[in-house]
Amino acid sequence: MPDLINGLVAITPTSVTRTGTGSTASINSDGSVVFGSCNTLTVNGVFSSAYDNYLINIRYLYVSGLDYLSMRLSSNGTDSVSGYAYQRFEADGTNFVAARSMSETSGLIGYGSMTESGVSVYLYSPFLVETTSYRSIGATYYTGSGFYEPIGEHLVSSSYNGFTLRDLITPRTKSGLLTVFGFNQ
Amino acid sequence: MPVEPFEITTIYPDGTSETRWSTPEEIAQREADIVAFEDDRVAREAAEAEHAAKRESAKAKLATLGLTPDEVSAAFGL
Repeated sequence: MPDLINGLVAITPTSVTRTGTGSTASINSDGSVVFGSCNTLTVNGVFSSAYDNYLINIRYLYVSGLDYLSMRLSSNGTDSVSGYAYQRFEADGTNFVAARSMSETSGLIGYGSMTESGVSVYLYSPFLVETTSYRSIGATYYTGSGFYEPIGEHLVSSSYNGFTLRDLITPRTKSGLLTVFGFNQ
Repeated sequence: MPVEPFEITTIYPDGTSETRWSTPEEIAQREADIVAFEDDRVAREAAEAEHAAKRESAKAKLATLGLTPDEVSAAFGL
């Protein structure tokens, strides 16, 4: 990991943990994680004292159906399952939705379908013993192009070194590739 | 709904992996998640139904004012 480069630095997870019948996952030599048919995917050991803020880039699709993609912060593989709050904007054709959720068990980060979707999550201070904030920018295609932009907080002042991807409406299988970057300031 | 024990596999950068069975705590969390999924689904569907009913009510009221469906769509996105 080149410490002297300013900007985004790709981070290799210490491990990834998957669930789901027939699921697959592996860590590429460049630090990216490729996953297939996972119900949940936990990415371990990516947040540390090296950086305060991070960018998680994800491309993914659901094997069937469509759902909201959500995230839980984790510490040594154990998820934090409370204290999430978020506000989302959705634009789907002429439909525009703005909604707020409080006291949730995970943080909404995107909306996916059976067509390849993408989401970029800016994550602020997950490793610091402070509350964590995020801003997510996503694109997906279902009946047409749509954009989905949640922002949120994890209102628990603890340190986390990883995160788990899961679904918001029902457990689904999803496949894709993700990379975690640290902001080297 | 009782959840059966499920496999959890951890993969390392060198390609090695370990598979174990879920702990009672992890099973309990998955059961809680399923309850939360259902609660969320019911709440979401109720909110969507209420929103759709309000849209239809608004369209009907606008129609009584003489607006055509095209005008309602252009002006209000309904």
